[in-house]
Amino acid sequence: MDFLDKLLLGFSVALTWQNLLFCFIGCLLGTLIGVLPGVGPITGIALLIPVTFGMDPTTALITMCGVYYGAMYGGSTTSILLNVPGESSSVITCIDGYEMAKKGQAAKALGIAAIGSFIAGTFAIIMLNLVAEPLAEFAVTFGPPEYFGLTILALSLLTGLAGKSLKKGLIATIIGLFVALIGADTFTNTNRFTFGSMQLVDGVSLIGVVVGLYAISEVMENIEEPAKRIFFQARVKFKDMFPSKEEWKRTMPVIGRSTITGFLVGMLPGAGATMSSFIAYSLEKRISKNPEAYGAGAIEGVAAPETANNASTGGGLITMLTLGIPGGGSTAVMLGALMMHGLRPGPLLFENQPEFVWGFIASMYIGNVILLLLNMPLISLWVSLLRIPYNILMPGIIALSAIGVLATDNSITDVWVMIVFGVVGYMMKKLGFPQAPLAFGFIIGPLVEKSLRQALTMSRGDPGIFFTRPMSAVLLVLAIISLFSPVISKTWKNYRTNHLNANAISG
Amino acid sequence: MSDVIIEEGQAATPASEYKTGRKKADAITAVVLLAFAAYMIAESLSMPIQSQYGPGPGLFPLGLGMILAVLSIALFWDGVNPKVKDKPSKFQNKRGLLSSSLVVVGLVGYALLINWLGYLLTTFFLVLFLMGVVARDNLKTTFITALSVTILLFLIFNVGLGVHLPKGPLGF
Repeated sequence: MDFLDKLLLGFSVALTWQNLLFCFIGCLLGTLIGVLPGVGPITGIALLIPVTFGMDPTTALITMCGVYYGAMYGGSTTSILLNVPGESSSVITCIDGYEMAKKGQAAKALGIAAIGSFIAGTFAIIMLNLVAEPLAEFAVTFGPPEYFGLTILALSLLTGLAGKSLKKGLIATIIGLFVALIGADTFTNTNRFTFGSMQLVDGVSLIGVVVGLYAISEVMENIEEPAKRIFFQARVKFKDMFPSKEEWKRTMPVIGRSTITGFLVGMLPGAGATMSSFIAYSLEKRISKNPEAYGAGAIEGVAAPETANNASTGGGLITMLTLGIPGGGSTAVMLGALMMHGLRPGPLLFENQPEFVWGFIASMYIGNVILLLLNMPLISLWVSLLRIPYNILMPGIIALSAIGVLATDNSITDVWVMIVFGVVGYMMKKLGFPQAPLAFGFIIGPLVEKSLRQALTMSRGDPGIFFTRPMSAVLLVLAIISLFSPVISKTWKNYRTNHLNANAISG
Repeated sequence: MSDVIIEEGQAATPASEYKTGRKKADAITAVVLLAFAAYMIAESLSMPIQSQYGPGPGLFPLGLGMILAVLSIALFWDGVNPKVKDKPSKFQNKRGLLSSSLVVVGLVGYALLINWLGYLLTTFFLVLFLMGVVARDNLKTTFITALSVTILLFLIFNVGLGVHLPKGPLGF
C-alpha cells in the first residue's frame, strides 16, 4: 500500500458517522477540559476510559485523541484571558498571552494560538503518516534485549524530566514498576504481592490507578484552597482574532520553527507538551532580534508555545503507536486504554491492524479542522464556561470517577484501588514526587520485566547480552547519560566555576 | 460568530501557612519507603530468583526493592543533612487538609454503601456530602447539583452505555 492508499483506507474508517461523531465529542470535551483549570488532559482521558470501554477500539482512541488535542487548544484560553493555565503545557503562554490581553489584544492572542495550533497539528499528523510505518518496520527487528534497552531509556528520560528531584522521580518510577508486578506472574503463575487477596490475582486495575492518581488527587488538592479569580471587563471580537499582515510576516517563521521543535521534542519519551512549549519559547526568545518584547505581550511569545505543544502531540503518538512506548502521561494512559481493548501498540500494529492505525491517523486530520472551527467562532461559549464554580465541578468529577471506575469491570475492588491511589497521588503532590513516572512505570512495567526475563533466558542468565548487542548497548548507554546528565552538568559547572575562580586568584 | 464581552482576571492561590517542613516530610517519607523496600526484598526472597529456563519471579522485584532501599536512604540523608536548605511545606493549612480528607471519607462511604443502596442513591448522597459538607454550599444549590449530577450519570451509563450497575432495595 502506498501513502495515498493508506490515507484513503484511513478516511474510509474515520468518515463513518460514529467515528465523526465521537471525534467531535472528543474535541469538544478536550477543549472543555483544557479551558477548565484544575482538570488536566490526563484526567480527561482517564475518565473517558470507562465511557469508551464498550466502543470499538478505533472509535475509543479517536475520542481520547480528540480530548488530548482539544485540551492543548483549550488550555491557551485561560492562560490568555485569566493568566491561569488550563493545563501545564500552557503555563508559558500566560507570560505574553496575558500581557497581550491586558493591552486589549486578547482576541489576537487567542487567534494566533488557534491558528498556530492548527498548523502544528496538521504538520504533526503528516509526519506521523510519513514516519510511523518506516519506524515500525525498523522496530520489528528489535528483540527482547533491544526492547529492554528501549523501555529503560524511556523510563530514564521521563524520570529525568518529570520533576525537580531525580531521587523522587526514580522512587516514583520504582513504585509504578512495583504496582505493575502485583498479581499472578505471567511466566510461572506465581502470585506476587497480592496480600492474600483473590481480587488482586489479576493485577491492579489500570483505570483505578490512573483515575485515582490524576482525577481524585487533583480534586483533593484543588478543594483545599480553590484559586480565587479577580475579574475585570474586556471585549473580544471575532474579526480581531486574525493577525495583521505585518504580524503574519513576523509569526509565520516562529510557527514554522516551533512546529519542528515541538514535534521533535514530543517524540522523546517523557518530554511531552510542556517541555516542548518551554523549549520553543526560550529558543525563539534567544534568536529573536527583539528579545525584550518577550514577556511584554509579544505575539510571537504566544505563537511559539501554543504551536509547539500541539506539534508535540503528534510526536508523542509516533512512539506510542510504533514502539508501544508512550511519549508522556497522556499517551501512557491512552496506551493503557488500548491494552484494555485488547490491542498491543508496537511495531506489529501497523501490519495486524491497518484499519485501526490509518483510521485513527485520518481522524486526526478531521479533529484538527473541528478544533479550529470550535475554537475560533465559539470562543464566547468557552469563556462563559470559565464561570462554573469549582464547588460544582468537584462533585461531578468525583461522582463520574467513582461510577466510571465501577462501570468498567463492575468491581468494588477497583473503586478501592482508585481511593488508595487518590491518596497516594495527593501525598505525592504534597511531598514533591512527580506522578507521571509512577503511571508510566505501571503501564510499561510488564513490558520492562518481560523483555528483561526473555533476554536473560536467551543468554542463559548472562547480563552481558545487553551490552554485546549494539542496539541495546546504545540504548542503555543513552539511558544512563540521560538519567545522570543533570548531575554531570552540575558537577561540570561547579568544576568550571571553581577552576575559573582559582585561575583568577592565581592570575 | 457574534462578538462577546468577556471578563479577564487573574488567580490568586494562597501560600502555605507552613514556612518550613519539607525536609522533615522527606525524612519521614524515606523511613516509610525504606520499610516498604524491606517488605519488597523479603517477599521477593520468598519467591524463586532463578528458574530452570531463566530468571524467576523474584528477580525483578528483588532488584527494584534494592534500588528503592538505596534511594530511600539517600532521601533520608537529604532530610537530615544540615547543609540542605529547608523549604516551605506544600500542605496549605489544617482546614485544607480536612477538606481533602473529607473527600476520601465520602469515597470510602461510597464504596461501602453502593452494594446496599444502589449506585443512584449512593451517588446522590455522595454529591450531597461533597457539596454540603466539604464545599459548604447552600442547601438549594447542593440539592439541585446532586440531583442533576445523578440524572446526568444515569443518562450516560444506564441509558447511553447500557452498563449494569448495582441496584438498591428500591430497585434502582
